[in-house]
Amino acid sequence: MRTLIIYAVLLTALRLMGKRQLGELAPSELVVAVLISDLAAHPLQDIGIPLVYGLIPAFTLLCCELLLSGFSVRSLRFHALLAGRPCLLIRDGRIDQREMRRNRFTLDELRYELRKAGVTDVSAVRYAVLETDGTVNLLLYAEHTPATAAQLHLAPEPDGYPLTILDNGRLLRGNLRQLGLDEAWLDGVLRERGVAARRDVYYLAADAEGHIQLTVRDEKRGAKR
Amino acid sequence: MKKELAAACLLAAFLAGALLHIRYLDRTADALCALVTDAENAALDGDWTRSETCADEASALWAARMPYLEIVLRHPELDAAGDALTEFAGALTDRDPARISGTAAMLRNRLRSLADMEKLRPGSIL
Repeated sequence: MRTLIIYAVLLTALRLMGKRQLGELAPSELVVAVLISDLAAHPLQDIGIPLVYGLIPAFTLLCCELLLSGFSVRSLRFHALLAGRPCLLIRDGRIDQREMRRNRFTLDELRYELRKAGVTDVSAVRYAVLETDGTVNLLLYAEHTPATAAQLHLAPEPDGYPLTILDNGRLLRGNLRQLGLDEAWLDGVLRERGVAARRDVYYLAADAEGHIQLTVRDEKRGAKR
Repeated sequence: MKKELAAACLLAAFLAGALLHIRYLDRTADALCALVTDAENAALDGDWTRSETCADEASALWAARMPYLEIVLRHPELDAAGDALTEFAGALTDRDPARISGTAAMLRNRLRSLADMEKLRPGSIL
């Protein structure tokens, strides 16, 4: 019972902290995540410790985190104080050694980040930004970046955002409505593609531009698009 | 903004709840200690009837507070205080004046520490 309560509370807490927390942890978020998991573990391990000894501190931390992130959004200075500021490890193709030392970033780590981005020449990098979550983003000189359609004076067909209409045979009516389509349209598409029933579809997505992605269940037919 | 407001309200509620909890524990410990002292004094004066009445009242008060205390305090500390209460009651039943003062002092000490460890003071916070 205690385990279920703690599980439900932690799940709620993480949900309230927002999606960002799960992927990229700022210092204060990391502290909260580590502390909450530790606090929750104690009442589970020792039945002599009341559940509130885990729940109240966990909620207190959650509230503090919500307040701090709220202040961070409103004040850039406070955000910088809490999360730090991004800094440039490479500026105009030259490694900033002072910044490297200040951030305790080794040359090996920088070379690893460059390799990860497929860059072998430091001089091709205009800026290397060490972000507040510890990731390094590279901005290359224009001559080293892939040409865009606009630079090539091309006018590619616009790509819409595909919404799933059929997931494992189940119809997602909300997405269908969002695209301004109806079930008659869906049945027409299936008929046109030679699919007998909705339950035969593994995945069907459509976008506002009218592009359709269809994958039929393996047992019915090979996947097609 | 709603989330921040809810968080601030919840924090304020926790703080208010903690202050009420401390006050409640302090009063409970005071009431129990007073009953134990009365029982001890009556026993040392040879008034065993009054002594047992006070001890029974202390036991009844302890039992009445138990559902709340079990939720908010560590069980080993509650068990230690409960054991001290039983030992004190045993000393009164045995009418053993030599044990009564010692067990009463231990019980008062345990009860006070239950309240003191929850107080907002450097010793309990740090």
